[in-house]
Amino acid sequence: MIFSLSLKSKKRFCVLLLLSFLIAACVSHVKELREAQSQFNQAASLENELQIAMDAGDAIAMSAMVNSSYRQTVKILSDLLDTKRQPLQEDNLLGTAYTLKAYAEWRLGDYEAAVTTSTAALEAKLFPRDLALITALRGLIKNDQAYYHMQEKDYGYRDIKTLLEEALEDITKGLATAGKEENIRIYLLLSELIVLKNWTDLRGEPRNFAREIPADFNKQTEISAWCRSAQPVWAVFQEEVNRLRPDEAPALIQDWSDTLAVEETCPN
Amino acid sequence: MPVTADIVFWGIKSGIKLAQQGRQAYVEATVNRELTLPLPNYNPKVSVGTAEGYFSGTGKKHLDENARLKELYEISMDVNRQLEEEEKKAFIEFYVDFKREEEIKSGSIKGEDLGLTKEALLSLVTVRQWAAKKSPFPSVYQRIIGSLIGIGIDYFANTPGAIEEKSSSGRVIKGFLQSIDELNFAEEKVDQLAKSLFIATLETIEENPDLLGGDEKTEQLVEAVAKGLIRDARKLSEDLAGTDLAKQEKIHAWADLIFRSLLSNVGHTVLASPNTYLALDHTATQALIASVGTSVLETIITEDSIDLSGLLSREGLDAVMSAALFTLAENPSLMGVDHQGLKKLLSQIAKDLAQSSLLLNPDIIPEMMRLILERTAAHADLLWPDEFQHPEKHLLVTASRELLNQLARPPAPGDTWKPNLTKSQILGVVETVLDEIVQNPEWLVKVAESEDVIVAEVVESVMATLRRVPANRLSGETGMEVLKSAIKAVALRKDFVDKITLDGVEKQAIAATLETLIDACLTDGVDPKARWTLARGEVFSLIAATALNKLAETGISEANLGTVKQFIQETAEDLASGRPWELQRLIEQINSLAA
Repeated sequence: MIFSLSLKSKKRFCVLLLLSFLIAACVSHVKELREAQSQFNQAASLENELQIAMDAGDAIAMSAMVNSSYRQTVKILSDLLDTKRQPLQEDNLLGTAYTLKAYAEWRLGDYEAAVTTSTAALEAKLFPRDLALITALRGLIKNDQAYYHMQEKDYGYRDIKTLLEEALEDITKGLATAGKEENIRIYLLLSELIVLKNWTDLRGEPRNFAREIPADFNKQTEISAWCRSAQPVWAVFQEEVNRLRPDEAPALIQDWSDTLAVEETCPN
Repeated sequence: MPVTADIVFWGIKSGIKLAQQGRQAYVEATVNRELTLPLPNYNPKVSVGTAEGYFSGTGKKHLDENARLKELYEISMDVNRQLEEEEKKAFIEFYVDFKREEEIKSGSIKGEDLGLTKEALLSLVTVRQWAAKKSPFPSVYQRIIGSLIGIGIDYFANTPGAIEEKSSSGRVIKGFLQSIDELNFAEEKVDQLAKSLFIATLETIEENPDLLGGDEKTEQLVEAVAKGLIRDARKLSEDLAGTDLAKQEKIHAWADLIFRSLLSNVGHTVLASPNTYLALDHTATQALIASVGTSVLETIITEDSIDLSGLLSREGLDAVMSAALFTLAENPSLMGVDHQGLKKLLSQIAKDLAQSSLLLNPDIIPEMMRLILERTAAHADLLWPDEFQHPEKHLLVTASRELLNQLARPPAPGDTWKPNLTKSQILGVVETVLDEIVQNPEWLVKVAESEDVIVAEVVESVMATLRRVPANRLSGETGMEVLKSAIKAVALRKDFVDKITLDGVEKQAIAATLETLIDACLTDGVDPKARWTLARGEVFSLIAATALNKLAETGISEANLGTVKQFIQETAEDLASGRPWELQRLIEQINSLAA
């Protein structure tokens, strides 16, 4: 049929056909991004299982798998951002790619890279979940830095406490960017409870987690300071879990009530 | 076959449109794809801290029921003791048991529900980009933070004057851009700081459009300040913060604030001292001005005797910065060859005054820095000998330390006057003392028979006398006015430091004078009607100032003090008996005292 077209029509036909091929070819960056998402999801699911020790199985092997998947995520995304930045930007996927990369770098413990990536993400178009995640990332990193220093016992009590206090502030900033109905709020609130748990461990056994403690250290004072931060977080957590996930709310609140005992520790 | 051809083209076009739509849907599905989010690091098990919190709060009631539990709790709460591993386990078990019992009693849990929470937790951290039924259109997008270039373009587009290179704002922006021109953003990790300083530049121009001069020197100044701050903030960050984000952010936040303060102050101070700042060659200017910002930055970040970052407001910072710039304008050599002079001085002030300031009012530290810097500007060679190498020998730092230590001394048993001194009252006395030290550094010579320097001895003596004034008869304000008058009197006549005999007892002349005045005006022996008037703050402080000043002229003797006391007592009798009286007449009587 095409042979019966005029020369001008043939040219138009060829241009349109070429265009359709180009469109088909132009999703490779999307596919690669999806592959990175899959790797990340796999790593995060395994890691969460390990973290909360629910049927964790062979922890060492799982941990290796987790790291491998995160590394794979970073590699895919680094290549993608190097070679296909323009199409990602045109499709408004740049922010998603940066967010995923920043979170994978965070989990690999490469905090500097994670901060650099999150800074780049802020210059791209960010959708609600990614914006909340990027905004809160510094807080998550600070929590992990505090946790690391607690395990290594190479930091003073005040410095670790500062990291944890600022972690709460930064995650709260992430919460502030998320709309009322966004499920990302639950993740960020859980992260705040985790920061409070680390703080609980630190104030409970300062000599086991800090290199030195202040001369005027007083446990009752530290509990009061903890309460000032914990009470508002706990109130918001209960309210939001009941509103956003009413089915899971009772069990979840119960679990964290046992872990932190906020209401019992801070009765007023 | 035009119809066939049209159909073919229409088909292909439709296919392309469909493909475009499908592709767009694919892209959007990727944006909105579920993401499983990793939890931050923590230990999910109940810990000693949780148990401690519980037994310090509502669980306290269980402590008296169980001696073992009470013992474990007390060990745990004692910072000097530690629970053994077995004790920890037992302590946590107590917590778990009591907590569970309470939950079952209150009906908040049923035993079979306990295992569900971890699964619930895992499902909760899998999150889509948007909440269900929320439209993914740009109207719900969050505002996106602009990049450096974006901010710049926006600014230039909306501020026509800014792109005029010859305008003052244009020169400031150009100066800033030159400062960051040599930075390697990819490798040096300074992009955030450079951005925030650029925003600071634009906002400062907006707030102070006429503050900055419009010549080439302005451009150089901004370049020097920004370059120095970025360089030093980066170095501080590397040296002190490492990868600690909290410390990095603190350094960057203060660099930003200091940069704003410096820009706001250059117009007032630096450009007003062209012979110092602008006559230097470019490199020297850069070093000198940058050193002001970086000295203050380093002091705030590194000083651990007191948390300066909590004390310095923008106003306080401006005051310190302005004083520092002024001081350096007067004495460029004060920075020393290592450019550390200013930092050494600020650190020394913080160190020396931290302890007493924390007792009195920590907010005075920035003002103390300003007061000392301002006076150093005019008398650097006199106040800071040894070529600015040893800040501990700075006379005003020494004097301030001695003065504040005396003011901060806790009341002794039997003291009745216990004022809560305000910031302005303390600073008023400090100014008086510092001005007198500038006039005569001998105030810091040690007193014979004592380890104290004169200023400390005088303040101690005056404060000790005032502290014995009966309660509620002397305000802090009046007390500080009297102290200032006493210092001025001693400045005029050193005999006030010597001993005299009063009523058969030998005592320091300044103390004897004040005791005489207090006896005549404030004590229980004075008729209440007379005391009502004489104890008024303005009346008593005027009587004290006049008497001290006159005695400084005539000399202090038991006879002179007796005469002053007699004048006051006569006035008191007039007041007590309802006769007319005049404050002015009493002041004239005291002033008529002959030598």
